[in-house]
Amino acid sequence: MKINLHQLTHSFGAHKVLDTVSLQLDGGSVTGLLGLNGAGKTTLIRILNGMLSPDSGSVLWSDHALSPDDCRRIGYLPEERGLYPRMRVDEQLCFWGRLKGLTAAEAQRRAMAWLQRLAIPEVATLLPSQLSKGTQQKVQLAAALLHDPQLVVLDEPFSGLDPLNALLLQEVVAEIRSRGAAVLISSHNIAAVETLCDRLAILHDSRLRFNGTLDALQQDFPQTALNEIFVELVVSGFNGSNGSNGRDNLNSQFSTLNSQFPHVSLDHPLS
Amino acid sequence: MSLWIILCREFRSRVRRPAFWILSLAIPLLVAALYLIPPLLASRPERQVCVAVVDESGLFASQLQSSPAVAYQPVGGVALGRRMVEEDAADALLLILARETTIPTEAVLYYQAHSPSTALQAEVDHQLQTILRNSILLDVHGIAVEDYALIARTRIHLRTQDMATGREAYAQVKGALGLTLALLALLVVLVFGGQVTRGVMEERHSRVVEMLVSSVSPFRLLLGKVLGIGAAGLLQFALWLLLSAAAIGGIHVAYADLFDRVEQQQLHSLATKGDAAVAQMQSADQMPPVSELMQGLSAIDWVTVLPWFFLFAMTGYLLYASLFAALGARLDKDADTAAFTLLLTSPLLVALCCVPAMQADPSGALAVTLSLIPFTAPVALLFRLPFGLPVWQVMLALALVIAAIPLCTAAAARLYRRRIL
Repeated sequence: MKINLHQLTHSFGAHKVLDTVSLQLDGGSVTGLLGLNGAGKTTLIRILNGMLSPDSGSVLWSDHALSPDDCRRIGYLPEERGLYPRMRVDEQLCFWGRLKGLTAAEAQRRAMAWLQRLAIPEVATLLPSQLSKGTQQKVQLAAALLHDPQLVVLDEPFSGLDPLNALLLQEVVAEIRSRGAAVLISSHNIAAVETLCDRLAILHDSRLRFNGTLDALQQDFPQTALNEIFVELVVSGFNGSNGSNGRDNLNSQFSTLNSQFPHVSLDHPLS
Repeated sequence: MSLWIILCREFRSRVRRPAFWILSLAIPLLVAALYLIPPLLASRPERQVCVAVVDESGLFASQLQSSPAVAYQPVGGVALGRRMVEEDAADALLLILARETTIPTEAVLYYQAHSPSTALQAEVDHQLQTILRNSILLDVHGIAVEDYALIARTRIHLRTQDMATGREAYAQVKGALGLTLALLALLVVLVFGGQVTRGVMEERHSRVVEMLVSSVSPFRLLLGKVLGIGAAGLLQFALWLLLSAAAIGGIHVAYADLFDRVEQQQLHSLATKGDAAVAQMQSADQMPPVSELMQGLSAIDWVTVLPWFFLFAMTGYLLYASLFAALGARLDKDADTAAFTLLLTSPLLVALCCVPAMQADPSGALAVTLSLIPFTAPVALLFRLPFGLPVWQVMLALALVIAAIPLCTAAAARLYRRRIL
């Protein structure tokens, strides 16, 4: 199973958010989507979910255009978390499961199983307002995974999670991958992305600056940590062919800044 | 299927709230209270108000009739009357002034501590007018009060009748019923449309909406929400009608004595004014007598009117609810909703303002035009419905409203999607 995003372009008014972005997500692999705020990550995710239509380009699910039926096989954890405040957790999970095509009984069974898996079975009968932020996030993760989706899209899944729960999330993502589903993780937590992901896509200024495996990236930037590579790529406008230009560009821009503001102490981003 | 799931969630989430049941019970209780309190108050023994009377004309003092509510006490002069009021021996002083003309035209009701009630003012005014009129009738025209009552009671009753069916028109009754149906439809749109706005705002604020639109299209989401809230509203409306009817019926049975007593008191009150026939005549001019009202209501084709009422009230709600949803998607603050709700429902309010013109000519161009515009039809057509309309007109109006629903919902869904993403 593979999902192809082909030459996606999207604008909000005069502002181009995505510019001919192409990306492939394969079953059994985890892709990390990195980019600064406003880089176009959320727009890309919404197009992938069928929530937005691109101005041009297409999303192919295996060999056909993305259809509403395909969208039901996507599990989505949005960046802006939200649960119905006056609806019990088990009813809420059952509701989301049914929206994704499960029967009420099956949704109920899977809801309990997922709450168990995420170590929060005791919250089933509680209201979201009675839960901590981290627990609410786990409930929402359960809602996204309840229907065994073939594509899982997690937008900032680590925000609000303590280290223990972050580890639990990593285990869950590994399980999903081993089950053969494609996973796309959008995150600013570069360390977690480095640990979890097989592939990396870096968006900057509406264009895809890098798309490939972590190994390929490490070959371009030997002996360099991923967070440094990321800064270098987005600051330099690197297009994936040669990393040294990016570092040179960054150094040159840093020198210019230093000369313009001689009395301000600036930290070099790669130091 | 997703539409049904959304609908069920919206319905359940509303029906489960304590507020739903509190309102479902509170409104019929309020109706029952409004029905019961006036006769209860009317049956309460009142304190008799004492009015000292100084009649400079000499025409009124002897003819003023005291009642359980008011006692008239003629006194010798203004100074004595004033002292009685000051010493609380009387509640007010009625001074009837004599001018150069033979007919007195001015009277003053003086008071000290408490302003006289409007009931007392009306009672005094009524007695003065009656005495003056009777005096003029007898002294100037030589007509006795009894003869005048007979003349006043005599009237020609103009009936309007359908030549084909022989049915009476009962235009007044039909107009009142039409207005009631139109107001109920407006109430349905305002109350339950407002719930749609709040529902959408809640979903935006709780940030559930992004998860929702990743699972179901905005069109279905909006339609499911509108239908779910509409179903809950229908249930609540039915509960209001049933419980109110049951409460009023129950009150009638439990307080049968009270209602009889109040009716007797009212008859007695009319009789003590000595002008019952004339009073009855005056009231007859203002509103149809009960028998005519009952005849008019029984002449209504309820089998046709009621289903059409429910159809137009519900389709009217569906048409406006999608706009209310779009409003909820646009607005950020609860405080803005009232003003925008008024703006949104202005077509219905315009139709309501045109009711007098439509009553004057229920088949006129204005009435027909307003009935065929989807946004005014729920009020205009329902107002005209009891008058009897050509079937094609009702069907066309309904078809136009139904056709406008998906268009409005689709437009609202587009706006909704743009706003929430």
